Amino acid sequence: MGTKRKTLHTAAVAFAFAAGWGVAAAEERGVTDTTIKIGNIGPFTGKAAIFNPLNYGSAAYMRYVNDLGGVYGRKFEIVFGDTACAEAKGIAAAKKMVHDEKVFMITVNPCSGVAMAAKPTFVQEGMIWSGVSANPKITGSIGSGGSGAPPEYMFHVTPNGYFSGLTMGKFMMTKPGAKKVAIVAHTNDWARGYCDPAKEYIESQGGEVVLDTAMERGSTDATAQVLQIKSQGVDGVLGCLYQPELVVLLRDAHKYQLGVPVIGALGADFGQVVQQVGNPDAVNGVFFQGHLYKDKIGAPALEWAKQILVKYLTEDELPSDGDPTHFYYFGMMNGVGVVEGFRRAGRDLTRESYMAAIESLRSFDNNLSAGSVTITDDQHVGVSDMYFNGLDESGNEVIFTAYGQPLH
Amino acid sequence: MKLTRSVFWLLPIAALALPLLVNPYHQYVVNLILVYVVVGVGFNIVVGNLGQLAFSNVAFFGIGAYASAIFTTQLGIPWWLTVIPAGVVGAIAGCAASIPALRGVRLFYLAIMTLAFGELMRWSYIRTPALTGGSMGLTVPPAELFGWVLESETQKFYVFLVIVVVIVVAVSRILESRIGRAFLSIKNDERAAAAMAVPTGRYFVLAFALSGFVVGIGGSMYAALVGHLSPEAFDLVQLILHFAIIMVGGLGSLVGSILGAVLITATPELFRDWPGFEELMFGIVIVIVILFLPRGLASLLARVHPIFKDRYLRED
Repeated sequence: MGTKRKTLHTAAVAFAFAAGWGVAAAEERGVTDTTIKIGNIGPFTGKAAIFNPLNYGSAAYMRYVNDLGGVYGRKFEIVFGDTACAEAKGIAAAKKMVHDEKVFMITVNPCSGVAMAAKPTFVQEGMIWSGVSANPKITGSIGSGGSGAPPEYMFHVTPNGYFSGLTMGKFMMTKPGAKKVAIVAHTNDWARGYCDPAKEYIESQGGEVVLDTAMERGSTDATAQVLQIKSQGVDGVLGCLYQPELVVLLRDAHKYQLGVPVIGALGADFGQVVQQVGNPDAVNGVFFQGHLYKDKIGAPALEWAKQILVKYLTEDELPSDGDPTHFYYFGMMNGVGVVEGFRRAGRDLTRESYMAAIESLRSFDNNLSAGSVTITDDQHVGVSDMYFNGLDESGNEVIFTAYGQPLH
Repeated sequence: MKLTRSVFWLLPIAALALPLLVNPYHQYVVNLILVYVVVGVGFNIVVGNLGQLAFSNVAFFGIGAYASAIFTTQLGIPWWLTVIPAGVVGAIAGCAASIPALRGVRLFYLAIMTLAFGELMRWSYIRTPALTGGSMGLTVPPAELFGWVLESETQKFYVFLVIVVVIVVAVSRILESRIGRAFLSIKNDERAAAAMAVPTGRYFVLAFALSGFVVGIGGSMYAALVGHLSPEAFDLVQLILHFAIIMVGGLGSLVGSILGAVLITATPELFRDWPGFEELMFGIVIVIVILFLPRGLASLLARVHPIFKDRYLRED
């Protein structure tokens, strides 16, 4: 099955390549007869460097396409830029891409604060941006967490925080009898980007968020939060936390026998969280997390993606055990969407033709995500659905479509 | 011909032509340097000139930035009219931060208390979403100057350059005056200064207020430059950056504040293409300077020519 999917991908991209012989010279910024320059920015240093597999996942798919001959004869020239997840540095990275590197588009860009700070630069320069940052204000319009029309050249081919948070709320409320929910979140825009839509959804369904408490980054103890939650007698907990703090919360939830499901946001890697908690009893049947992919990582349906990641990333870019984690696939999802835009834009590539192509995506199956990609001129967030990941009582990974309802 | 300090005026004059030579990316980095020159100058007043281990600088910086942004977004005041008020709010915060010092808290205890002040402010930005946008951050509209919108980096540069020149000249004058000498006397020996009838308490408040005012203005410039404020921008990493600027440049030296801001802001950009290496270089530069130039880069320049030595430090 994996081979079949890979063959389909290969055929699609090879078609684009074959059709591209004799391309006329383009005058678009970052585009030549043989190359398309892509700015790939993210936190390669600093405390948020845990997110850089998103950057590498996207790059891996573009390198794979390059190996097939590129899109219409043009190969991707990827320029990485470090934002360190800090606004001032992120703006510098964005401006370098625009004015020094003169890239055609900027991709990935985890860290909502950086994306928000750099957004005026992108808008002012008409720079195409396809990122994965959660804040709905970046590309959201009415119905996707924002207000008004989406920015002209900016889009997500993945879900944004609004849809991710919404599905966290939906999953929580599918637990039979769920009424009272607690939220533990970082005090930053990323966390609120997830937990606020979840809270809205829960309250719209007659549920109640009885506790919304903070857990600062770098916390190594969640006793206070867990005891507060326990005293409220909740039916579940939403943890809008980065990986290290989510691990702490899960450990302490087990230690104090909280006994309710903990649903994590997408800022943590499911497999790594399970590994780092290091206690099956603390996660089996307890820990759930939004799952963007159509099946579990390692399943035959995603084998093609794994092969690409392993083949096209260097040792330094892969985890130390060589096995790509969830974030790599998330990044690749962005890469597949971006490349599809180039394929659809045709030989005469301009910003306008590219955006028209992106806005033509309707139920596009990227062979990776649980939900298909649909982008229109008034909706620039492509994916709105996802599954949930969890472990059964024996510790086997299970993909759920709703609480207690496995995919298979 | 004898060189005098008036040659320093050539720097801002020469800088006027800078936008002709650089693209908006480089211009942005230069603008960021100008912001950090102001921050370094302000921070040095308390740490370098008064000699106090006080780390409330990041609080002043955030307060100035948020004050400017709130005046602009909530009250509709044009940015240029918010610069001085942002400084005033920073000065008030400076007065508040000086209270522990007035009560005799010194050294590491003062460091911890002022650090806590910075963290308390960060908590406040998060917990007052109606004013600050909370954890989602606050988007600052483009700065406006007499109907002239500061959209481009070049426009911001000219405005920032004027602010920097005014601040550097004003602080230089203050540090060369009786006030500056009083700061230095407290730094050298607080008890001796008190015995010489220097009203040390008053000068503590004045130094913290002046530092808060200058750094608050730096915060206002930062708000105009970056355009989006989030509480995480004013964390300990920001403080380390400020500390590195004055350590590398030279404690208590105006020339050092400028040099430190240039080096610490520009170095990571020079090594941007080698992620990780920039952090390494940052560390190496600090270690080298502390080991071989404990008085910072300014002391190196002072060896080249005496005009680079701050007048108020010459008798040291």
